[in-house]
Amino acid sequence: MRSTMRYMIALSLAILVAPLPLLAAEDFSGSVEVGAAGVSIEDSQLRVNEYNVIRPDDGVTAYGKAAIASHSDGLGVDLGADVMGARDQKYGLGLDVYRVLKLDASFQSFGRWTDHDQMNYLDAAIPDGSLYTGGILTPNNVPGFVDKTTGVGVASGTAGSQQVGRAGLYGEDFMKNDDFFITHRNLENELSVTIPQLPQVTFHAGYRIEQREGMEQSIGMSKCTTCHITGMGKQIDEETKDLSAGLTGRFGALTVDYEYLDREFRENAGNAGRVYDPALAPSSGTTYTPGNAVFDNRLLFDYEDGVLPYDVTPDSDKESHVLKARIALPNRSEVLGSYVSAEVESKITDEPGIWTMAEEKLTTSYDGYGLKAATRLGDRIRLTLRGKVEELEDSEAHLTFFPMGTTAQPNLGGGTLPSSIAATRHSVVTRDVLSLGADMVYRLARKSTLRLSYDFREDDREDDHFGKTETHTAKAALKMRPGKTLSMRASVAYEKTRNPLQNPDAAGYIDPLTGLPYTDNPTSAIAIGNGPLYGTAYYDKRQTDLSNLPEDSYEGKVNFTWSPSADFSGSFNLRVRSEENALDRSEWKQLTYVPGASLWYAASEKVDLTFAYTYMGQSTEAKFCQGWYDG
Amino acid sequence: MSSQFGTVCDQTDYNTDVHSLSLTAEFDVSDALDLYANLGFSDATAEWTDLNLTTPSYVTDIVMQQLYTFEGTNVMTEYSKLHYQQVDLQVGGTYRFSPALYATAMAQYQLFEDKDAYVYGDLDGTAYRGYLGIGYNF
Repeated sequence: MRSTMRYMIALSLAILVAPLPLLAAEDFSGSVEVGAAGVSIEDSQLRVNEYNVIRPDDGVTAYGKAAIASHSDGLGVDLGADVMGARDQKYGLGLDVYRVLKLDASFQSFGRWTDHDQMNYLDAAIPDGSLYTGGILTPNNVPGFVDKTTGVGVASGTAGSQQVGRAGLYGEDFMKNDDFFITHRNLENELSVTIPQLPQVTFHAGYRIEQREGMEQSIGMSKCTTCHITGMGKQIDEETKDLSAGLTGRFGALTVDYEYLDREFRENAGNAGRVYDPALAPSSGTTYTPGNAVFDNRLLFDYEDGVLPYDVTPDSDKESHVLKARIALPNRSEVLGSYVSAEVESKITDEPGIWTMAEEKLTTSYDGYGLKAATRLGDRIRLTLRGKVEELEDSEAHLTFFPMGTTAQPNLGGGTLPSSIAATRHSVVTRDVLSLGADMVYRLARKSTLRLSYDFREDDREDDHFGKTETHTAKAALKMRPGKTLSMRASVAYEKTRNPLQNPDAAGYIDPLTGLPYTDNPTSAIAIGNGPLYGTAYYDKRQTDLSNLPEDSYEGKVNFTWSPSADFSGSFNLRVRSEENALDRSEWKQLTYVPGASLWYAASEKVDLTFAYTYMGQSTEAKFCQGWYDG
Repeated sequence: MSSQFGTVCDQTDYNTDVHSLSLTAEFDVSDALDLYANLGFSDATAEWTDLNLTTPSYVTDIVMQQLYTFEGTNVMTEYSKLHYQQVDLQVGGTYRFSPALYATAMAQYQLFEDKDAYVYGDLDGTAYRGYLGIGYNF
């Protein structure tokens, strides 16, 4: 794929060189600049040099800039180059051949340091019971069992004792001293052709390649024994290719525009791989052997599977068609229609023997139909009506999982775990969306208008778990000029949302028998050993809905601009937004206020001063729930 | 079976404050010399507060009482405490020897102060940049 980029760069350079004869034209200008640029970084470069302005690290580099513009007898060319060392470069070409052929081409490359999670804040564990020194129980001094009545630690399980659950969390960065760096390259070409014999039609074509290459941090986790979280590096070699073609036609009052886009995304670096930890009890007394499979039935894979891919970025393809039409009518009226159809295919590779998927690829499709009409009512009112119907459809994924040690324990309702478990994953994306809106602009006076608008949107999701969301938005905006030196804009908006997208039953256990937020007599008969199964006994009994999307939103904006003289102007703006929801057993509120001011002053004909200040304050109130569990 | 489990909840606050300030000055010293200066400063804080979970009175399980404390959970708000300050000062200018020939230069000082380090470690950093060039218009 690298050769494709080289080929395209060579082609672009050839295009850059092709118009050189124009350099002899009379209307010819340009500039060239050369020099040296340097950078010195102290301490971390991850923020002050995240996007490498001059170069990625300390040192001095040569730079050069060039710009050439030439126009002669219907031929025009604009060339630009900005080279900052070997990595950070920009090139541009604009070409106009008798207005028949127009080309815009550009190439840019730059580097970026990416974040490195230190992973040194993740360590926690309940120590092994064999390390218990007796005396008072603390989180760092834990016996294997405790007497349920006295709380005294005991060495082994008895009828009156309870086993203490073990847990561990361990973060380990395998690339502690490495930095992660990505080089971005972007090549864009836009071509338009208007044939003189068919002047009402313009043909368009475009080609774009975007590449990301380098290494990013990749974080993975083994479960069982402990939650062992590890940080490694993942090679990145991503390429996105866009090919577009279309046309714009003007036939009297009718304007039609069509564009086709074909996009291909590929990750060429191969998948990162890791060996997972053995599935063992988190005890120093449990050693690994291939036959020691106490917890195998709880996992799909572990150490015995060897290297497995993780942190996989799937290849994908996209196709879209966009058709727009506009009819200009008398009385400054117009009707606009649009149709958009898009399909994205994501290619997933399953792991036979661990999990498989019936579908070879996952497909998301979008169809949108829009209609808008605008007209003038009298001299002062302009009315716009709009509507859109959208259909989004996402594949269901039919998965089959193959647990390890499938006959090890009868832990799902008393039966023997089957050799495979089938599951269907529904997507929340699949939905029908209806949008309706109306705008009325009333001209109060010269340069003064009042705009009133109303919008309705309905998201009807196929997945009943998330249901239907309805949003009503009303807005009023005033624009006026009270005097020659003062102008102002002000608006208020209210939005009412019924059933915003939320996570139903996301938190807050409620005992179905007592209605209390706890139980000491689990109602679920499904158990591992002598304790309740966390999923069915705890998670399935949660009743608190959570969302950070509002049911009620209020927003106000105001802006003043004052220009009392030719050498001074000032502006002030303020935006305040209040949002809240009150769902089943939870409340969420957010208040945002953004005031700002700017001043411009020309102290003399030779001195300009500009000052700007912005403040953004946001306070959020949300419910936090912590589950607690002994077992 | 002695396991005991449940949920404890609290209403918590999360506050964000961001101040951004910029000053720019352009000075045509003479027909040959133009100078400019830009100063940017920003201060951003974020804080999670008012998480106060307490062990409910109905917790009777001996293991829960002795080995787990919800009070220990409350300190996690410290992990969400963020405070960044940034300063960006840039001065530069262009001197024209003739309408066609000119020299240009820029110097920049950039400071990032990470006052409450987050998961990416201490991101404190200072950058000094500059360039000196000569150009020709035709």
